Amino acid sequence: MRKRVRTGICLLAAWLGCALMTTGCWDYHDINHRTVPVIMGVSKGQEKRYKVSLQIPIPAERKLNVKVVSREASTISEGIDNIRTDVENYIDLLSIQLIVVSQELAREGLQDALTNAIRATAFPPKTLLAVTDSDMEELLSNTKKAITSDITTFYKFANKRAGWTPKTAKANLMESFSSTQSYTQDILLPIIKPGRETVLEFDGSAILKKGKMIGRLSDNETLVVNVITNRFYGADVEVLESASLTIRSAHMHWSSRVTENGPELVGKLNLQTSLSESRIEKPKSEHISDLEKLFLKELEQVTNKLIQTGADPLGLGNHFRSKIPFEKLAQWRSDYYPELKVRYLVDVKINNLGSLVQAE
Amino acid sequence: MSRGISVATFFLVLQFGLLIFVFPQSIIQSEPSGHWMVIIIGWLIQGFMLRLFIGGLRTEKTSLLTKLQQSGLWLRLGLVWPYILSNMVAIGVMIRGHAQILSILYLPQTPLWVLLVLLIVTALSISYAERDSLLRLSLVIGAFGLPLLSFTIISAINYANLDMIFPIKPTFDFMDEPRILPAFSIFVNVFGLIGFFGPYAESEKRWLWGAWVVSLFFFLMNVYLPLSAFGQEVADNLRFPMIVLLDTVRVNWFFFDRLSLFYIMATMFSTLINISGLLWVTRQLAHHSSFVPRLITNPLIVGSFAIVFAYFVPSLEDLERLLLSGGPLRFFLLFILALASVYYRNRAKIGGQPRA
Repeated sequence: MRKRVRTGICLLAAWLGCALMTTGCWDYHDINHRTVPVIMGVSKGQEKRYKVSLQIPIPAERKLNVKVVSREASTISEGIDNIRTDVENYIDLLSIQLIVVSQELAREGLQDALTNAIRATAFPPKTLLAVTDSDMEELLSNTKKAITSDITTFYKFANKRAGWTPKTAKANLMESFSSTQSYTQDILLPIIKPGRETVLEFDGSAILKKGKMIGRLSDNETLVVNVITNRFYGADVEVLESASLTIRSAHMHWSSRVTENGPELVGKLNLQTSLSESRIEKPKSEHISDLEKLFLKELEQVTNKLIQTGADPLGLGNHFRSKIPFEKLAQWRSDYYPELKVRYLVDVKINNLGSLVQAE
Repeated sequence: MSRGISVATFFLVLQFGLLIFVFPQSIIQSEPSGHWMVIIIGWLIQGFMLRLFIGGLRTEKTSLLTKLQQSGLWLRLGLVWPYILSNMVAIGVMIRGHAQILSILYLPQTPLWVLLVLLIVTALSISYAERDSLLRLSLVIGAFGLPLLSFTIISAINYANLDMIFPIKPTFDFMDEPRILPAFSIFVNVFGLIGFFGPYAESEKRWLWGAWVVSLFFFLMNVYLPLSAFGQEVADNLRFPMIVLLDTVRVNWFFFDRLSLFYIMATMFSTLINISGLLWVTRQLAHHSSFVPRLITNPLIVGSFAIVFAYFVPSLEDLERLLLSGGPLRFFLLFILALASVYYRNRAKIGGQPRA
């Protein structure tokens, strides 16, 4: 009996402890006192090294006020701290969807900033990154109106099932950080500008090698890169001399080997297309060979351009990870990549000829 | 049959909590390639210990716990009390490690003692229950935790790139690297509990061996998913590779933002079971003793001691250094307990006296 009472008292103490501890009253931030910035801009400051701008929606009665607050500081965390001093609510950085970096900063190098962003766990690693060459304040103010009506605007730009097209690159914070440390993978960041009728305009992409921007690619070249890295989704219209074909899906298969002359890659591209316009009554096989020639030319052009810049956003080095020993792989970009020979085979199938009959 | 599945779930749930702690980091950082060999070696060591503790597939007649409860003075001083002390330290290490991880990743402003007390206090009331209720609870927790886990793993598979797991050739570099020792202790920690929940019937043993096979899958997944998404040279720098990978996963149709929260939730469930199991065993071992041993092994006292111990460890790195030396020590102790278990089993077969 006494043992039962003793056990009962111990259990009672334990339950009381549970009740006290699980309320979590220590460090909550009330939802009314939080503010959730959506887009952050980092550019070069005039007096100090960085200028950090945050676009902060402040909920008011029956509407949403969006403010752009900028502060200059010598490091990015100090800049955010300075912004925190002046904003009345608690700023919750874990919902930032897009970080925009100015082009001058990208050319100087983002390696330290990326490493610190991942170390600090302040930003979610799936935040999208973008580069801009226009004025940061103008970009952030331009997007104010769109955010006021729909706060998930930037997610939609990157969502495959919403507005993302294969002509734009997409990179998140973790991928960019990986590319600064990885031996065989670089990254493309989209270049954005404030749009006139739309929220954003995409102006090609920036090639980043070890965190430093070393070149630009145009829209079409970005499309080719997305096709090569198997990120093609949706549809894209290719205009040939006498027809227009819409590409529905693109898959790339690789085989690699290392010879005495250097590494060699053979890439086989399967394109499934449908015929959307055709001006002259030409047979299907001619359209197919036209597209194959066009694509082959574009593939080789983009690949050669990228090999010359010395950056590897196509991830071609990944195919050689099993063939080159790990210590030598660290020199992939300097030793093996310039000697790389890539051969492409394009195989086009027109699945859908539409409602009219077409000759073979 | 239902008893069998609860024992198997108990085995899996116990393993799972320690997997995020130092396991992927120490395996990825200890050698540049061929991690699968280290994992398979650890798994085989686990199989060896399992064989010693529960032995084959025949029904057992004795239970290690009852034998230890009724043992004489020398055995108690030499084996049982070091084991109880080691349990206290193990509880302290576990709650400190998990509290620190929560503090780094999710709650940087919460004071540390709050997290420590929170982790213990929920486990306290379970430790006063019977062995069967503990197994039933582990079945319920497994029913919550394992689907959460599978959901997070499946959503991360999309981000895996098969090319990045190369180079895959195994090397023996890990033998020189002291960083591998914490992983070693994680492999054998589960036996501090499994051996004491006997006697197991034949069907239960079959389920236990099956759970051992399934745990290989979890070990491999935990190391190879971050490796295939990032590559060896990037994952080397990450402190929590699996969690960063899960934070990068974007699931568009789901209303929760951070998937790693589910992973941590499953881990916390497992820690709950781990701590309550250890507290239960500690309490049961002093069942027939006099007042003072029973006071010391009371779950509230053990819990407070563990909290005090955990609070005074200066930092997470010191905790890992503790694991470097403490891990093999605990393994040694469990190995001796395993040998004791074999001894008692053989004596029961021959028909020896029911006294140690």
